[in-house]
Amino acid sequence: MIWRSIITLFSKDISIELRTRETLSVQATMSLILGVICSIGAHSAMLSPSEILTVFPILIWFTFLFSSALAVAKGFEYEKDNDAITGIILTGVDPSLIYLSKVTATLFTTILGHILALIVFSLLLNIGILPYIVPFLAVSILCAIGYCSISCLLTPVALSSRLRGAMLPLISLPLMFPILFSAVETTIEIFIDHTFSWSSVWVSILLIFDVIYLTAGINLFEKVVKE
Amino acid sequence: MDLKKIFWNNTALSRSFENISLLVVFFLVAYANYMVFLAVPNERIMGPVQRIFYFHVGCAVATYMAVAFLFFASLGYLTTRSALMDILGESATEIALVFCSIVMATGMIWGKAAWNTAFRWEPRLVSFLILLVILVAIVVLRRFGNPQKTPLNSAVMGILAAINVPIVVFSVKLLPASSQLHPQVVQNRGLRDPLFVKAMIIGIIAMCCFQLILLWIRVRLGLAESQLDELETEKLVN
Repeated sequence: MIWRSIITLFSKDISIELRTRETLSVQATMSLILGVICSIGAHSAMLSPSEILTVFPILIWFTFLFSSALAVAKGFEYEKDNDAITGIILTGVDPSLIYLSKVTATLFTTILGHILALIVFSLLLNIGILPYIVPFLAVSILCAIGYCSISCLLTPVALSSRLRGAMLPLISLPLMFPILFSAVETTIEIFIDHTFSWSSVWVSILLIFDVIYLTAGINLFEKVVKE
Repeated sequence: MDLKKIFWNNTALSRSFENISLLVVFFLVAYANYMVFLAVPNERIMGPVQRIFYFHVGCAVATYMAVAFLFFASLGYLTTRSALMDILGESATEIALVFCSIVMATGMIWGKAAWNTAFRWEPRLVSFLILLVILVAIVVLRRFGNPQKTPLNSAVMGILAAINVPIVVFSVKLLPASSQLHPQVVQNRGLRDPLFVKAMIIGIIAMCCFQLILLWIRVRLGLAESQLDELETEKLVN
């Protein structure tokens, strides 16, 4: 029953997305633009390949944050504008399931945008990503889970404020710092130091924050959307 | 038991309690200053700049205390929807922000003397910086949020901020010793002179009491503001 509700709500979000393609377009365009700007900057500064590799972890996560922040806010705007969230709550579905389906749908678009950014960076900055793709994608999914958990909880909060979408990065990014630091450090381990291990401290921190934020979201989402 | 009345009633008892508390805090802070600047000898390696440590540690403990108040006030608001809990949460956020800023400022002054740079990539420094930014985010949310939903939204943010603190503090301990630059004075038994220990304890007690009295005054101010709002609304209705 729980899974059926989550899958139904998830397919609703995905079919809206496939019909409008708005969130994915925003995310993809933003990833492309940021990727191009960073690449032009790196080449203008005449950075050597090793120096480019050194700055790559922060560039890729910076791009992830910017493009995802826009995409998450966009994804929620439909619910807010048409007050669709009230309609879903009135069907009697547990709000925590609505939250979980939102996190899953956002995770889906976020990861797609992140993969696109990775391809752009690898092509324009000439970084060989194929040997490291599996650990990097796993870390990206862990980071995206934390990001989507906190963003899906705070987007209704941000949209109800006077600043609307502009409020989301202001309140979600400070809470994202630990996850972002861990993601950057893990990317350094993967691409530069080649010392990545699944038992690394940074992976543990990512996992801890994912669990904490997801649990907080499941418990607090109802209070945020119901009133 | 009406907590609002206990806090707000401007009786002779509450006024004398507040005056006595203010007096006690004044003498505690004065005594802490005497201990730090006149009684404690210079530290052998760092010299006079080490004296900032006593305020730095005291303010750090006071920050954690204010964040604990923020957590319980946020939980209290979510369960009871009491206006007092909202005011306590707002006050605790502001007080925590003030003390957190003092910790960062004193840490930077010490860092400039010890490391020749105000800020370094060090887990404990970064953890406090994260806390500072989260507290600023809550203040921004209160300032620009939807007035009807601000108490609820701030309570949610307050809980998220407060659960971050122990995890970030614990995460710092998980990191390898090579990345830790922050002095572990107490753990490494660095306070050899008994006067150092005494000054640190007095500093912590003084700053915590100072934080408590500031919180008390800010809560009373918040209650006065809400009463004024109520009166203005009544006046508009009539």
